[in-house]
Amino acid sequence: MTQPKGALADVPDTDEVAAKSSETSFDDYDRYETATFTQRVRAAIPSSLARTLVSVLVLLILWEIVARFIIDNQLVLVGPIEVWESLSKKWEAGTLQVDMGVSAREFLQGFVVGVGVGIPLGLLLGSSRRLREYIDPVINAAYATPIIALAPLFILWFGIGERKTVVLVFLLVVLPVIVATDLGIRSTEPVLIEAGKAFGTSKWQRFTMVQLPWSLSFIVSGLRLAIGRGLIGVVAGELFGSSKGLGYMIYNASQVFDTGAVLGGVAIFAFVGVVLVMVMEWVERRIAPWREDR
Amino acid sequence: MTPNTRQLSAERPAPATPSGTPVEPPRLQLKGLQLTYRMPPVKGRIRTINAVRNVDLEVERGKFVCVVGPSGCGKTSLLRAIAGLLKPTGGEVLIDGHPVRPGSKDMAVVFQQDSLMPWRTVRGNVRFGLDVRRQKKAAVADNVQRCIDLVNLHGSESLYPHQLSGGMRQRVNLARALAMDPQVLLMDEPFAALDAQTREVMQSELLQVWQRDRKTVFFVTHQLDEAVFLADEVVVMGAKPGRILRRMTVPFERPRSLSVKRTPEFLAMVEEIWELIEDGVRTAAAGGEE
Repeated sequence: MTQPKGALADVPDTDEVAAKSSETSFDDYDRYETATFTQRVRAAIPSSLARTLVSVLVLLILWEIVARFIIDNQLVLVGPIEVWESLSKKWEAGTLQVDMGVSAREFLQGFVVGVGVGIPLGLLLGSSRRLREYIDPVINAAYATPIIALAPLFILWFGIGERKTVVLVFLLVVLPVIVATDLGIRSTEPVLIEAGKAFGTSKWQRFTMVQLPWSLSFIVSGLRLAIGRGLIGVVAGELFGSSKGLGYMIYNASQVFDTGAVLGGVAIFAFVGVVLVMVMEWVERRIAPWREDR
Repeated sequence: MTPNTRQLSAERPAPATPSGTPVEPPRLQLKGLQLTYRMPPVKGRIRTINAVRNVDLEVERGKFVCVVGPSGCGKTSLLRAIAGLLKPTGGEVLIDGHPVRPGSKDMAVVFQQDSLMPWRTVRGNVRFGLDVRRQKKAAVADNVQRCIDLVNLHGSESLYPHQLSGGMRQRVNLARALAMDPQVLLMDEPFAALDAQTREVMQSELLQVWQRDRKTVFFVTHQLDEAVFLADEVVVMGAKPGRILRRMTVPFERPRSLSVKRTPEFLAMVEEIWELIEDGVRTAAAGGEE
């Protein structure tokens, strides 16, 4: 709400000034309510989404041009149209659905368990300085470790099949969730904690009524990071010692020089990743509209 | 603000004087209050700073007291001690003769800007202290609405703090404290972050709200004219160590309008306070210790 111009130049009566200023804010609302249909549609579809679509479209066209006219070798690169055809063939054969189902299941299992373990651990770390001093070095080391390099070992530990992939996804997901949750709790505005104290909150109330709501958007940021890492985990897990899944499909296709299917598998991951990340960004904006840093 | 609690507090047994007539204790009383901070050590030497030394102050029921002084005189520390946020290293803080307890009916704090919970609406923020006390939403709805109306926020109940102007946010801040129905209202430079015009409007509105039920107010500010305009009594503090230099009674009759600020008497009083603290302010401005 802005103060009406000139209303205060001749501060005659405070009541009058206050009344005027509140009128202004309601005017703004009326203007919003009476917006035309096209204005509302335009407001509902963020221009950022439109720009994303344009960018994707341009990328696809460039890809097709390069594949068709510059690198004229089917082994090295095929265009999006041929990728689509490869995928369609696998869909009609029924194998694509199976592979996608397996990958989705592995991802979901690893992700859900990772989030279920990561959030409570992060909350604990954020609340206890002593605990953090014990565990922080481990977390940092694990975060910096290329866990994917362990994937071949995981076959030894967890056998061939889906379980090793789930564990890999779990490990990749749990770390960013822990780190983001911990950061959320610790970054709570001191002023808000002080206000909580002044109104007589117990330590537990301060946690549930101040720190937890504050860190919610941080937690969602953590989930957003975890999605990308989890998808990488699915591919890496399936590249070794699997007989199903999109990662296996990519590996298999590369063995038989089916470049279209290789790129198609990668494209599916990219698509799923982009959609999930956009959903998370939307959730972040919804639950923490006051954070303007995103 | 509920009639019951007011009667209860009035019926508290008052300590008797030797002559046998009961004397009501002052609403707010500081007895030899001492606040000493330990600063981070420099070159291995532990430093302590006397933020406040030996402050005695009594505030009668229903009085509006403003505290002014150069930065570093410990006025905000004083307020934090009364709020129970800072443990005194000596002396005590009493409200109605009893030690203070945060979150009780004793007092409520109006902070500087941005101490509102950003995920709560105006209504939710005003209800915050009551939620802490686990009061049922329905039971407090009327009280919450009344406090919102009192600070002229009717119609903005469902907005979030980031949708409000600085002035509106401070109204919510005030309403949140009023909803607690405190004996003493503690205000820590609540208008400091506002622009000059909004500040004047808010001062007037605060007086109107205060006029209704005359709560005891302890108001910290660095604006001298704000202090003189609002207060029954201005407490002038000096720094190094933080102490009370003088207590001045403000003679202007109530209700006051902003035009009071242009009278010669008003300006003379502001000038008098300024002369008291001028040296301290200059030292602080020249980068003296906080």
